[in-house]
Amino acid sequence: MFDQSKEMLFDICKAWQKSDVIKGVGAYYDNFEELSADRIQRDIDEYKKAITDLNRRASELKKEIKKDKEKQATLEEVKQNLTSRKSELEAKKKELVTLPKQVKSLKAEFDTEMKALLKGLDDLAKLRGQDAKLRDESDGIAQIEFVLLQFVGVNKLVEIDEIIKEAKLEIKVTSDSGEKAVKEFRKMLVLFMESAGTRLLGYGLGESLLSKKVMFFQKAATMLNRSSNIAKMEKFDFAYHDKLFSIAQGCLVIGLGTQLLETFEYSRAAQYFLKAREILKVVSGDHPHASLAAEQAAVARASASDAFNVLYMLNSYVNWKMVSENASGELKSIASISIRNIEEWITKQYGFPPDDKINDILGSMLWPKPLLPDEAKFPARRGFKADISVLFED
Amino acid sequence: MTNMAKGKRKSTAKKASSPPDESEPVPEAAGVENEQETSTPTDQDYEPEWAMYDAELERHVEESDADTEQELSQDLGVQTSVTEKELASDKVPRFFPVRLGFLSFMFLAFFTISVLILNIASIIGLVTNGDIFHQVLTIIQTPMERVPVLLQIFNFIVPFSNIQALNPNADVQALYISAGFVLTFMTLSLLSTKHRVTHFLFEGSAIKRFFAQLGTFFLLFILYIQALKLYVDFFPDTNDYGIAADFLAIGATAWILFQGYALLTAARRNGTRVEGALVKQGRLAYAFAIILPVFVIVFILLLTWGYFVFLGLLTLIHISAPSWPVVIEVILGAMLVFCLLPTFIVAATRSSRRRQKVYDNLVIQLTNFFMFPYLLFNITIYYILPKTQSSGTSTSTGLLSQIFLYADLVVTIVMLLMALRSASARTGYRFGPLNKHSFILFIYASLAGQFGIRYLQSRPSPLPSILGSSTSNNIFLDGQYWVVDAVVVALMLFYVLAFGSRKFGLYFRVRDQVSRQDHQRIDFIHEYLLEEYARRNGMFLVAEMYDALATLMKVDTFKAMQLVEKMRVAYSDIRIEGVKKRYIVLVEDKKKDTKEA
Repeated sequence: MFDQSKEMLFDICKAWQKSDVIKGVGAYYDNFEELSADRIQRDIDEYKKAITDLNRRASELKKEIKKDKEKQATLEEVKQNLTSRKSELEAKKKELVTLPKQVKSLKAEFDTEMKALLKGLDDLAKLRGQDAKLRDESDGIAQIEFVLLQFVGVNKLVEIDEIIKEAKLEIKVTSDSGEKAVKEFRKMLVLFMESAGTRLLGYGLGESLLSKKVMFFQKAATMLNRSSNIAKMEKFDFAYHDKLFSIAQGCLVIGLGTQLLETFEYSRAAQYFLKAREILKVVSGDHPHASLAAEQAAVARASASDAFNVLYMLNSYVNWKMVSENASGELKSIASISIRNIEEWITKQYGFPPDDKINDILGSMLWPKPLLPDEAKFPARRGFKADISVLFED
Repeated sequence: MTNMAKGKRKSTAKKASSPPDESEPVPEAAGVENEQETSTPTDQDYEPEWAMYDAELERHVEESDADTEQELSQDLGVQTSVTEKELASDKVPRFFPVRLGFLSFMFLAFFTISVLILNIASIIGLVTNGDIFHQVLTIIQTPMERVPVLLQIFNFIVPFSNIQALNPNADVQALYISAGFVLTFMTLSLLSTKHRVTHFLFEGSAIKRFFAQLGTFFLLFILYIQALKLYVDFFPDTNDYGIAADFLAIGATAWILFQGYALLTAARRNGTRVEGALVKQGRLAYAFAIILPVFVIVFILLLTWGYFVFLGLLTLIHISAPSWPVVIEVILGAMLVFCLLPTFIVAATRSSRRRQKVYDNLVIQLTNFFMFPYLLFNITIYYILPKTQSSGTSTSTGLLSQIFLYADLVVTIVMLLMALRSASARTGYRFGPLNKHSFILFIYASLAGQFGIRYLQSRPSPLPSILGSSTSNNIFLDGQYWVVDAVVVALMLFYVLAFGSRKFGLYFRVRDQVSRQDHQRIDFIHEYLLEEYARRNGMFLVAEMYDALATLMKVDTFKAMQLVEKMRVAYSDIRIEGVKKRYIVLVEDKKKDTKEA
């Protein structure tokens, strides 16, 4: 599963190691002030554009509010965004002014961060093929996360795209969705995170211990959510990445639901499973992992009915127990068989809830509407004391 | 209690009156999309099915509250009263093996005559020739000679008093009386597996029991003696005394097999105990378990070397047999195979299961370690003890034989006490299909055979070479030690061959019988799972444990499952994680994981 995607991050590391990064970094270093000024200027333009957009949206909302009172909350949100963007714009402007004074310290910082990034890439590349280390939370996974954060951190200082350009770096990889050749940092980041995310997802699917499984899914979903967000910004295979995220999210929800089964919250667990099914349903037939999504959707459906099943079984259990205490003869023996079978079945699969919890658990049961069969419908009380023969008229 | 119950009642009342919660599953939650919303109202829309029994339910809750308050732990208070009753009815009185009334008396009398009197008398030189049984019978016979009727009865009952009168050298009463004891006790033992017989023999007033036992015992005893006599009358040519000797040998072999089995079990139990202590010690203990086979092999080789030195010393006093060193070499070879084969199997096991196998191997090696001296001891006894029909032994051999005879007697008695103590503590004197009464009677029968043979071997005038014609009799009468070694070696070979199987560890290890009380069982499950966790060095499926726990605690699988659930509530250091595939996980490990992260 994810055979090609999960290897991409090593191909990316290899591409970085092979390219002339020193040259790229050197070129950037030489023109540091100029390039940084350009970059800040570009950011300022972006902020200005964002503020114009937000202003337009705010005025639109003010008109809409007269028709629809509920838009008030959206307006508040837009206004809040506007103020924060404005203050960020001011900060950027200030940064542009103070840039010449800070060049030296920024350069030094860039130097150390870049070194750390390159070392991180080297260390990560060494882990290729070492699955046991890679799936270790404090080893491989931590290393992947470190490289990712380092990329983002360095990109905050400088424009990595410029370095890629100077180093003539082109990343050619094969994802599960086909071959990719990218020269842009953000697209590379998307591929890197897709790779890490699918890797984590694969670990989660193969893991037996539930708490670890959920941990893997949590990390995978976070990773793939970020990658799909950036893919949307870059218009880079967004549909594919978004669905990939849906798979991870669906798996995570199933995992969380299963954890609820362990704590005997069957009803809530069923809700989780059904949500997971909804999430997974969007992954359509042309996605390379559609079959996985379909499988997990089936797991979600099955788990949802399983969870409800336990609830109904418990209800039977409580009632049969009561019957067995009061009844005698045939009914008592039926009751005791039922009690034992139910207890055995639930215990084997989910663990049996403590006696004092059962009543609370049953509180969330759902039932279809009661129905009186036609054959059992009898007329309401009629007739009168003087003549009861009315009751015997058919 | 009432407060608690009230609290519960309040909460249910509140629940029933509260409006349907938004967070409750919507109708679609039932898993059928196109279901109409109106057809699936929530539970709160109308009385739930079980609420019909509301009053009963609350009463039930109150009752169970009352129960749980009596218990130390709230979560363990279900259905303990039943097991308590079982516990009460199962108590075995102290010194039970000698409290079977008249039957115990008869056995002790036999023991006194054939073992104590003979040995004491021969030490102080009272008996130089003749037969203690014969002398005892003569003492009983003397006052009867005046009453002809009594004498006739006596002569009818006592075996071969007529032959005795004709030929004083053919003193074979000991053989026939011993065989009669073996057969009688064996029959009583088999009969006692039926409840009706134990009810007849061991229940009711003391007088009734006494007469029932006396009557049954003598009825069977006389019947068997007469049958043996008849046998000789009908088949005079076969082998005059052979058939009685056969029964004696059967009893003695049963005893020696039981002794061998008890010792093997004890060795396995000790192995299990040592392993249980080691398994929780971590890495160093694991390393020890890996290299233990080397130590055991060195121990076996050194002991064998010492034994050959001992054999060399024996030749100085003219005790030797050409087959002796050969047998020792065969046993040595077998033991080396038992040490090496499992070790090779461990080396060839997949790494994921190797750790568990290393600990299985540890138990096997410790068993080898404990059993080897016993095998050597048996062989020594076999070669040194006088043979039943041999008469021409040198004085020095005779003395040494006598010493070994005492040593064997001491070993027998020590083993008997050990086996009985253990049987009492662990199973309440139950052994396979035998209940407590039939088990003790079985022991009586076996010991009667053993003491009977010892008696024949050690009395000053050896048995005339009546058995010379039959080799099978020789093997069983004198060679039980050799037979028991063969059986023990065969059993160990079986264990070693079964070593490769998955469930080997469960069946090879011997654990103390877990008491019937649920609290103790829960503690046991906790201990067992911790050990299993250390042995596998990681999590494992709880479903794999149900059968093992059920076997160990002698309960059904369902009960084992219930107890595991209770254990889960009672102990917080073990978690059961997962659904459908439920794993046993140590909480400590999880803490370690998060710390590292």
